[in-house]
Amino acid sequence: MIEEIEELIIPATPDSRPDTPETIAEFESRISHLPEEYKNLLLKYGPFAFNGSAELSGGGINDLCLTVCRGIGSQYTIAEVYEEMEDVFGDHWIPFADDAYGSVYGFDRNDETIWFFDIEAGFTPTKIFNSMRAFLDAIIVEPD
Amino acid sequence: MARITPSGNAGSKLVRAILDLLHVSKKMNLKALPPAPKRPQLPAPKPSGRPIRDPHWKPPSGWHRPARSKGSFTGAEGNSPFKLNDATADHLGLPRGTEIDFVNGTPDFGPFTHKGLGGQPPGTYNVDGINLNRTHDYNATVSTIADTMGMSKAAVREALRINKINLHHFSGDIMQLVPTNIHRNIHHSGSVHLEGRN
Repeated sequence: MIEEIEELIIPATPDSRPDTPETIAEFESRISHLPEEYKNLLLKYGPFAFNGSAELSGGGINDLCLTVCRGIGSQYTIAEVYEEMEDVFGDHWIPFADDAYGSVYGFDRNDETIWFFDIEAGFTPTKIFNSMRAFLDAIIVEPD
Repeated sequence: MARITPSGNAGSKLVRAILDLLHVSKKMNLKALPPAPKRPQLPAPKPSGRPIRDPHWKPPSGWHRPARSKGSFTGAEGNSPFKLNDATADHLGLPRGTEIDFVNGTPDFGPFTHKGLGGQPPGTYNVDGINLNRTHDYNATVSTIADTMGMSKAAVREALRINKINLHHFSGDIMQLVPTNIHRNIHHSGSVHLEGRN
Protein backbone atom coordinates (compact mmCIF):
# COMPACT_ATOMS: atom_id res chain seq x y z
CA MET A 1 0.00 0.00 0.00
CA ILE A 2 1.32 3.40 -0.92
CA GLU A 3 0.19 4.71 2.47
CA GLU A 4 2.57 2.28 4.16
CA ILE A 5 5.61 3.72 2.43
CA GLU A 6 4.67 7.40 2.54
CA GLU A 7 7.27 8.07 5.21
CA LEU A 8 9.90 6.96 2.67
CA ILE A 9 8.75 9.39 -0.03
CA ILE A 10 11.17 12.27 -0.62
CA PRO A 11 11.26 15.14 -3.13
CA ALA A 12 12.80 14.11 -6.46
CA THR A 13 15.42 16.83 -6.02
CA PRO A 14 16.05 19.47 -3.36
CA ASP A 15 14.28 21.98 -5.61
CA SER A 16 11.13 19.93 -6.09
CA ARG A 17 7.94 21.52 -4.81
CA PRO A 18 4.38 20.22 -4.44
CA ASP A 19 2.19 20.86 -7.44
CA THR A 20 -0.81 23.11 -7.13
CA PRO A 21 -4.40 22.55 -8.22
CA GLU A 22 -3.90 25.30 -10.80
CA THR A 23 -0.82 23.76 -12.47
CA ILE A 24 -2.45 20.36 -12.51
CA ALA A 25 -5.64 21.78 -14.04
CA GLU A 26 -3.57 23.55 -16.69
CA PHE A 27 -1.74 20.31 -17.51
CA GLU A 28 -4.99 18.38 -17.75
CA SER A 29 -6.55 20.90 -20.09
CA ARG A 30 -3.43 21.06 -22.26
CA ILE A 31 -2.28 17.44 -22.39
CA SER A 32 -4.30 14.84 -20.52
CA HIS A 33 -6.25 14.01 -17.41
CA LEU A 34 -4.35 12.32 -14.55
CA PRO A 35 -5.58 9.50 -12.28
CA GLU A 36 -6.97 10.86 -9.00
CA GLU A 37 -4.61 8.83 -6.79
CA TYR A 38 -1.64 10.24 -8.61
CA LYS A 39 -2.91 13.83 -8.50
CA ASN A 40 -3.29 13.56 -4.74
CA LEU A 41 0.36 12.57 -4.41
CA LEU A 42 1.50 15.43 -6.63
CA LEU A 43 -0.49 17.91 -4.55
CA LYS A 44 1.32 16.60 -1.51
CA TYR A 45 4.84 16.14 -2.82
CA GLY A 46 5.29 17.25 -6.43
CA PRO A 47 7.74 15.00 -8.28
CA PHE A 48 8.93 12.43 -5.80
CA ALA A 49 11.47 9.69 -5.19
CA PHE A 50 12.17 7.30 -2.32
CA ASN A 51 14.54 7.15 0.59
CA GLY A 52 15.93 3.74 -0.34
CA SER A 53 15.79 1.30 -3.19
CA ALA A 54 12.32 1.12 -4.74
CA GLU A 55 10.96 -1.71 -6.83
CA LEU A 56 7.58 -2.95 -8.04
CA SER A 57 6.18 -6.29 -7.00
CA GLY A 58 3.58 -8.41 -8.70
CA GLY A 59 3.48 -6.69 -12.05
CA GLY A 60 3.67 -8.09 -15.53
CA ILE A 61 7.47 -7.88 -15.39
CA ASN A 62 9.24 -9.09 -12.28
CA ASP A 63 12.41 -7.03 -11.92
CA LEU A 64 11.21 -3.46 -12.23
CA CYS A 65 12.84 -0.68 -10.27
CA LEU A 66 11.47 2.82 -9.78
CA THR A 67 13.48 5.98 -9.26
CA VAL A 68 11.25 9.00 -9.90
CA CYS A 69 7.54 9.72 -10.16
CA ARG A 70 7.15 12.82 -12.27
CA GLY A 71 5.12 15.93 -11.53
CA ILE A 72 3.80 18.98 -13.30
CA GLY A 73 5.57 22.18 -12.41
CA SER A 74 9.16 21.69 -11.27
CA GLN A 75 11.99 19.64 -12.81
CA TYR A 76 11.08 16.00 -13.56
CA THR A 77 7.91 16.97 -15.37
CA ILE A 78 5.57 14.67 -17.22
CA ALA A 79 5.37 17.16 -20.08
CA GLU A 80 9.16 17.06 -20.56
CA VAL A 81 9.12 13.35 -21.42
CA TYR A 82 5.82 13.42 -23.23
CA GLU A 83 6.93 16.19 -25.57
CA GLU A 84 10.41 14.71 -26.03
CA MET A 85 9.06 11.30 -27.02
CA GLU A 86 5.74 12.11 -28.60
CA ASP A 87 6.51 9.59 -31.33
CA VAL A 88 6.49 6.85 -28.68
CA PHE A 89 3.48 7.91 -26.62
CA GLY A 90 1.26 9.64 -29.19
CA ASP A 91 -2.33 10.12 -28.08
CA HIS A 92 -2.31 6.82 -26.28
CA TRP A 93 -0.09 7.02 -23.18
CA ILE A 94 1.13 9.56 -20.64
CA PRO A 95 4.61 8.95 -19.17
CA PHE A 96 4.63 9.56 -15.43
CA ALA A 97 7.59 7.72 -13.88
CA ASP A 98 11.15 6.56 -14.63
CA ASP A 99 13.40 3.68 -13.72
CA ALA A 100 17.17 3.94 -13.23
CA TYR A 101 17.90 3.06 -16.86
CA GLY A 102 15.70 5.65 -18.56
CA SER A 103 12.79 3.30 -19.14
CA VAL A 104 9.41 4.91 -18.64
CA TYR A 105 6.16 4.00 -16.90
CA GLY A 106 3.10 5.32 -18.69
CA PHE A 107 -0.63 5.13 -18.18
CA ASP A 108 -3.12 4.46 -20.91
CA ARG A 109 -5.27 7.54 -21.38
CA ASN A 110 -8.31 5.44 -22.20
CA ASP A 111 -8.42 2.77 -19.53
CA GLU A 112 -5.70 3.94 -17.09
CA THR A 113 -3.81 0.66 -17.28
CA ILE A 114 -0.08 0.99 -16.58
CA TRP A 115 2.58 0.15 -19.15
CA PHE A 116 6.36 -0.21 -19.05
CA PHE A 117 8.38 1.22 -21.94
CA ASP A 118 11.70 -0.61 -21.90
CA ILE A 119 14.53 1.61 -23.12
CA GLU A 120 16.76 -1.40 -23.72
CA ALA A 121 14.14 -2.89 -26.00
CA GLY A 122 13.60 0.23 -28.09
CA PHE A 123 10.79 1.45 -25.79
CA THR A 124 8.56 -1.48 -26.60
CA PRO A 125 5.54 -1.16 -24.24
CA THR A 126 4.38 -3.99 -21.97
CA LYS A 127 1.25 -3.82 -19.83
CA ILE A 128 2.21 -4.33 -16.19
CA PHE A 129 -0.73 -3.21 -14.00
CA ASN A 130 -4.46 -2.76 -14.45
CA SER A 131 -4.66 0.58 -12.65
CA MET A 132 -2.69 3.41 -11.09
CA ARG A 133 -3.84 2.20 -7.69
CA ALA A 134 -2.33 -1.23 -8.37
CA PHE A 135 0.92 0.41 -9.50
CA LEU A 136 1.18 2.58 -6.38
CA ASP A 137 0.35 -0.32 -4.09
CA ALA A 138 3.04 -2.46 -5.74
CA ILE A 139 5.86 -0.13 -4.70
CA ILE A 140 8.25 -1.67 -2.20
CA VAL A 141 11.01 0.41 -0.69
CA GLU A 142 14.08 -1.11 0.93
CA PRO A 143 15.59 1.57 3.18
CA ASP A 144 19.40 1.76 3.30
CA MET B 1 64.91 -75.73 8.59
CA ALA B 2 66.45 -72.44 7.96
CA ARG B 3 65.29 -69.69 10.22
CA ILE B 4 65.71 -66.06 9.88
CA THR B 5 66.67 -64.80 13.21
CA PRO B 6 66.10 -61.22 13.75
CA SER B 7 69.17 -59.60 14.99
CA GLY B 8 70.30 -56.04 15.02
CA ASN B 9 72.73 -56.53 12.21
CA ALA B 10 70.50 -58.61 10.00
CA GLY B 11 67.52 -56.32 10.65
CA SER B 12 69.35 -53.15 9.70
CA LYS B 13 70.65 -54.78 6.55
CA LEU B 14 67.14 -55.77 5.64
CA VAL B 15 65.80 -52.30 6.28
CA ARG B 16 68.59 -50.76 4.24
CA ALA B 17 67.91 -53.23 1.43
CA ILE B 18 64.24 -52.36 1.43
CA LEU B 19 65.03 -48.64 1.44
CA ASP B 20 67.48 -49.07 -1.42
CA LEU B 21 64.89 -51.02 -3.32
CA LEU B 22 62.29 -48.35 -2.73
CA HIS B 23 64.74 -45.64 -3.71
CA VAL B 24 65.61 -47.37 -6.95
CA SER B 25 61.96 -48.10 -7.58
CA LYS B 26 61.09 -44.49 -6.90
CA LYS B 27 63.80 -43.26 -9.25
CA MET B 28 62.69 -45.72 -11.88
CA ASN B 29 59.11 -44.69 -11.49
CA LEU B 30 60.02 -41.05 -11.73
CA LYS B 31 61.90 -41.70 -14.92
CA ALA B 32 59.01 -43.71 -16.27
CA LEU B 33 56.39 -41.06 -15.49
CA PRO B 34 55.60 -38.40 -18.05
CA PRO B 35 56.69 -34.89 -17.18
CA ALA B 36 54.67 -33.38 -14.37
CA PRO B 37 51.79 -31.37 -15.74
CA LYS B 38 52.07 -27.62 -15.43
CA ARG B 39 50.23 -26.08 -12.54
CA PRO B 40 46.76 -25.04 -13.73
CA GLN B 41 46.59 -21.37 -14.62
CA LEU B 42 44.37 -19.08 -12.63
CA PRO B 43 41.35 -17.97 -14.59
CA ALA B 44 41.92 -14.83 -16.60
CA PRO B 45 40.64 -11.72 -14.90
CA LYS B 46 37.13 -10.69 -15.83
CA PRO B 47 37.34 -8.38 -18.82
CA SER B 48 37.02 -4.85 -17.63
CA GLY B 49 37.48 -3.01 -20.88
CA ARG B 50 35.63 -2.67 -24.10
CA PRO B 51 34.25 -5.88 -25.59
CA ILE B 52 35.79 -7.19 -28.79
CA ARG B 53 33.79 -6.41 -31.89
CA ASP B 54 32.61 -9.58 -33.58
CA PRO B 55 32.91 -8.97 -37.31
CA HIS B 56 30.39 -11.75 -37.93
CA TRP B 57 27.72 -10.27 -35.62
CA LYS B 58 24.30 -9.98 -37.23
CA PRO B 59 21.27 -8.19 -35.76
CA PRO B 60 19.19 -10.84 -33.97
CA SER B 61 15.43 -10.97 -34.13
CA GLY B 62 13.95 -8.21 -32.00
CA TRP B 63 17.09 -6.08 -32.05
CA HIS B 64 16.27 -2.36 -31.89
CA ARG B 65 18.20 0.24 -33.83
CA PRO B 66 18.07 4.02 -33.49
CA ALA B 67 15.44 5.72 -35.60
CA ARG B 68 16.50 6.27 -39.19
CA SER B 69 15.35 9.87 -38.79
CA LYS B 70 18.19 10.44 -36.31
CA GLY B 71 21.17 9.28 -38.33
CA SER B 72 22.73 6.29 -40.00
CA PHE B 73 25.35 3.61 -39.45
CA THR B 74 28.66 4.26 -41.15
CA GLY B 75 29.28 0.53 -41.62
CA ALA B 76 27.60 -2.69 -40.59
CA GLU B 77 24.11 -2.21 -39.18
CA GLY B 78 24.39 -2.34 -35.38
CA ASN B 79 28.14 -3.00 -35.37
CA SER B 80 29.71 0.28 -36.43
CA PRO B 81 29.48 3.97 -35.53
CA PHE B 82 26.03 5.55 -35.78
CA LYS B 83 26.48 9.06 -37.13
CA LEU B 84 23.92 11.53 -35.84
CA ASN B 85 22.39 13.80 -38.42
CA ASP B 86 22.68 17.52 -37.82
CA ALA B 87 19.17 17.94 -36.45
CA THR B 88 19.70 15.22 -33.83
CA ALA B 89 23.16 16.48 -32.88
CA ASP B 90 21.79 20.00 -32.47
CA HIS B 91 18.85 18.72 -30.44
CA LEU B 92 21.15 16.81 -28.07
CA GLY B 93 23.66 19.65 -27.82
CA LEU B 94 26.41 17.54 -29.39
CA PRO B 95 28.84 18.64 -32.12
CA ARG B 96 27.63 18.01 -35.64
CA GLY B 97 29.12 14.84 -37.03
CA THR B 98 29.04 13.09 -33.65
CA GLU B 99 29.17 9.31 -33.92
CA ILE B 100 28.03 6.81 -31.30
CA ASP B 101 29.78 3.49 -31.73
CA PHE B 102 27.72 0.32 -31.63
CA VAL B 103 29.53 -2.89 -30.68
CA ASN B 104 27.74 -6.15 -31.35
CA GLY B 105 24.39 -4.35 -31.31
CA THR B 106 24.85 -2.28 -28.16
CA PRO B 107 25.77 1.42 -28.16
CA ASP B 108 28.94 2.44 -26.36
CA PHE B 109 28.04 5.66 -24.58
CA GLY B 110 31.49 5.80 -23.00
CA PRO B 111 32.53 9.08 -24.66
CA PHE B 112 29.28 10.67 -23.54
CA THR B 113 29.16 9.46 -19.97
CA HIS B 114 28.86 11.89 -17.12
CA LYS B 115 32.32 13.11 -16.21
CA GLY B 116 32.00 13.37 -12.47
CA LEU B 117 31.89 17.11 -12.07
CA GLY B 118 32.04 18.52 -8.59
CA GLY B 119 32.61 15.23 -6.84
CA GLN B 120 29.75 13.53 -8.64
CA PRO B 121 30.15 9.97 -9.86
CA PRO B 122 32.34 9.53 -12.95
CA GLY B 123 31.04 7.75 -15.99
CA THR B 124 31.96 4.08 -16.20
CA TYR B 125 32.09 1.40 -13.54
CA ASN B 126 32.93 -2.27 -13.48
CA VAL B 127 30.28 -3.68 -11.20
CA ASP B 128 30.77 -7.11 -9.67
CA GLY B 129 27.86 -9.52 -9.80
CA ILE B 130 25.90 -7.97 -12.66
CA ASN B 131 23.15 -10.46 -13.49
CA LEU B 132 20.94 -8.39 -15.83
CA ASN B 133 18.15 -8.13 -13.25
CA ARG B 134 17.19 -4.46 -13.29
CA THR B 135 16.70 -3.96 -9.56
CA HIS B 136 19.72 -6.03 -8.58
CA ASP B 137 22.03 -4.30 -11.02
CA TYR B 138 20.79 -0.84 -10.04
CA ASN B 139 21.46 -1.57 -6.38
CA ALA B 140 24.84 -3.14 -7.16
CA THR B 141 25.85 -0.12 -9.21
CA VAL B 142 24.74 2.32 -6.52
CA SER B 143 26.76 0.36 -3.96
CA THR B 144 29.84 0.31 -6.20
CA ILE B 145 29.64 4.04 -6.81
CA ALA B 146 29.10 4.69 -3.12
CA ASP B 147 32.15 2.61 -2.17
CA THR B 148 34.31 4.12 -4.90
CA MET B 149 33.35 7.71 -4.24
CA GLY B 150 33.02 7.51 -0.47
CA MET B 151 29.39 8.58 -0.67
CA SER B 152 26.27 7.21 0.98
CA LYS B 153 23.92 5.25 -1.24
CA ALA B 154 21.25 7.91 -0.70
CA ALA B 155 23.70 10.57 -1.92
CA VAL B 156 24.49 8.50 -5.01
CA ARG B 157 20.82 8.10 -5.87
CA GLU B 158 20.26 11.81 -5.40
CA ALA B 159 23.28 12.67 -7.57
CA LEU B 160 21.91 10.46 -10.33
CA ARG B 161 18.51 12.16 -10.08
CA ILE B 162 19.78 15.74 -9.86
CA ASN B 163 22.11 15.27 -12.82
CA LYS B 164 19.52 13.27 -14.78
CA ILE B 165 21.81 10.32 -15.37
CA ASN B 166 20.72 6.85 -16.46
CA LEU B 167 22.52 3.56 -16.05
CA HIS B 168 23.35 1.73 -19.26
CA HIS B 169 24.27 -1.97 -19.43
CA PHE B 170 27.05 -1.81 -22.00
CA SER B 171 28.67 -5.22 -21.87
CA GLY B 172 29.54 -7.79 -19.24
CA ASP B 173 30.11 -6.02 -15.95
CA ILE B 174 30.46 -2.57 -17.51
CA MET B 175 27.85 -0.04 -16.42
CA GLN B 176 27.90 3.41 -17.97
CA LEU B 177 26.34 6.56 -16.50
CA VAL B 178 24.74 8.33 -19.43
CA PRO B 179 22.87 11.65 -19.55
CA THR B 180 19.18 10.84 -19.90
CA ASN B 181 18.61 12.97 -22.98
CA ILE B 182 21.30 11.15 -24.97
CA HIS B 183 20.36 7.72 -23.68
CA ARG B 184 16.67 8.14 -24.44
CA ASN B 185 17.11 9.64 -27.86
CA ILE B 186 19.23 6.85 -29.25
CA HIS B 187 16.80 3.96 -29.24
CA HIS B 188 18.68 0.73 -28.85
CA SER B 189 18.90 -2.75 -27.45
CA GLY B 190 21.10 -2.89 -24.36
CA SER B 191 23.03 -5.94 -23.25
CA VAL B 192 20.10 -6.76 -20.97
CA HIS B 193 17.96 -7.24 -24.03
CA LEU B 194 20.61 -8.96 -26.14
CA GLU B 195 22.09 -11.25 -23.49
CA GLY B 196 18.87 -12.07 -21.66
CA ARG B 197 17.89 -11.54 -18.08
CA ASN B 198 18.27 -13.81 -15.05
